[in-house]
Amino acid sequence: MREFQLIDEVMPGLPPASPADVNAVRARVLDGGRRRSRRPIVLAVAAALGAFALLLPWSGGDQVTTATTSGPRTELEAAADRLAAQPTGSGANWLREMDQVYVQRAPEGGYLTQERLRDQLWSTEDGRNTGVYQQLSVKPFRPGDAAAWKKAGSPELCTMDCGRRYISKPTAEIFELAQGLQLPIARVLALPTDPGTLAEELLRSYPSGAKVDRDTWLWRAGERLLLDSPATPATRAAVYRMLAALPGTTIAAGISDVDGRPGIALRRGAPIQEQLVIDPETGNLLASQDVAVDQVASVARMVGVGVPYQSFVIRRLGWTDEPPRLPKH
Amino acid sequence: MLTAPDGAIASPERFATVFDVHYEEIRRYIGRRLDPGVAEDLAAETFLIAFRRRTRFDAARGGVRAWLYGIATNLIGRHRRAELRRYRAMARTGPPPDDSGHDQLVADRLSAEVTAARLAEALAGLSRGERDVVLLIAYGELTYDEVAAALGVANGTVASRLSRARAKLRNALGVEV
Repeated sequence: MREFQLIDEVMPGLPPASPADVNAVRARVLDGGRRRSRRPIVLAVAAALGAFALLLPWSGGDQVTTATTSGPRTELEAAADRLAAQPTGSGANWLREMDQVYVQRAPEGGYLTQERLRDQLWSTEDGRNTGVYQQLSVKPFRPGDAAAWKKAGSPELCTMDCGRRYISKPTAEIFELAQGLQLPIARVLALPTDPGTLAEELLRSYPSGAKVDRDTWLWRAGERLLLDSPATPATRAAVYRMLAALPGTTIAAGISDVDGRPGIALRRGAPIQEQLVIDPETGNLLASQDVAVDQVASVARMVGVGVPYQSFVIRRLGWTDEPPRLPKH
Repeated sequence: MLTAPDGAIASPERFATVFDVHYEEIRRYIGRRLDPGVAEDLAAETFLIAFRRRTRFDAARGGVRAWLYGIATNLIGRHRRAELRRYRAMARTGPPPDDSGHDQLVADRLSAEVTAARLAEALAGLSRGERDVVLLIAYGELTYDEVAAALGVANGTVASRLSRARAKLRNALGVEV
């Protein structure tokens, strides 16, 4: 018997929290369910220099779209059409598998590392959502970083047992898309396929005490619909169009994800820009990634302007009969 | 036992993993020491504090779990009187009736009858620091090193609190627990 085990066994326990309660707290803690937010230092710098930054030319805006009949917007429209025409697919389970890829400074030493974390979201027949996470690799980012790492004695870079899987507690099939917007799977699957109607329907959940403006909230909700929900291909195509129509969104061709796959990007924000990279051939989402577009961002000093420093690279997304390898509940 | 990665702290994405892996156990730890009704609020508070401090998390000083338990324990400390009230109520009346009969379980296992009522009384007799150490080990299954990291005290402090707590519990209950 371990020490004080008796206390653990004798003293009253606590009934488990309901998945809805856990989801509510989760959303509260993680700021409206947005999984990615800017580093505080970036925000502070941006706020301090906000007015100034507005006057700076876009560093990465070589192909900013205008309302013409050719160019990136036309390509995006065509890609959205192809996506909308895809079948919804079938299968007992829905799986989204992506890699989270981060560039960060090593805790000691002046070199950068690139970390890759496999992130699976399963929505299974039994009505549950489960996340599976696995650190795949951590390695020096560029050749110069590799040299510095070797010079530092080649310390172990994995922080969480590379290869070991971490599995979240299953929750109900409710998808958190933004602050105030948590949809059960049936509602996600029934979302409109017209961009205007979709925006209207989503914005009905825009909370009165929202921490962000409506456009930003809608962008986040759209990104989450694409990344973390089983929305149908036609709805996903509508998300592209809805986000493309938001004031401040630009469209650019010739943007690649960190795995080198080329695409068209919906882009928003400065000095940190969020990019949704879309495969022009299929209309599928390739990645969501963040880049600095201005030197005022501290990450620009780390990786350089225009280089993704954190990204989600989609590997698989859709319905499957493949059974998830999860522990029994 | 599942643990979240230590490297999971700095980025908000991976903080979500930390939440998913540890929320329920932190809520449970708080709920067992305080009124179950405040468990959710204080557990949420624990993670909000952790999220705000995530860039200051130092993996070299104990892991993520110990860090979260430490924050939760500090919050519980603000409700020390509520915790003592709960133990005293339990000592008089036993555990709440909706509890799943832990008392019977115990008597089967030990010659001495260590009931929740008697344990509650004994826990109320510990100092706050002693109780923190005992319950981090009992409920959180933290190692001594993790307890030291969680509470931000020296290993020697943990050891001396432990030996005092053991003696008090032995006197109160008549057995080693």
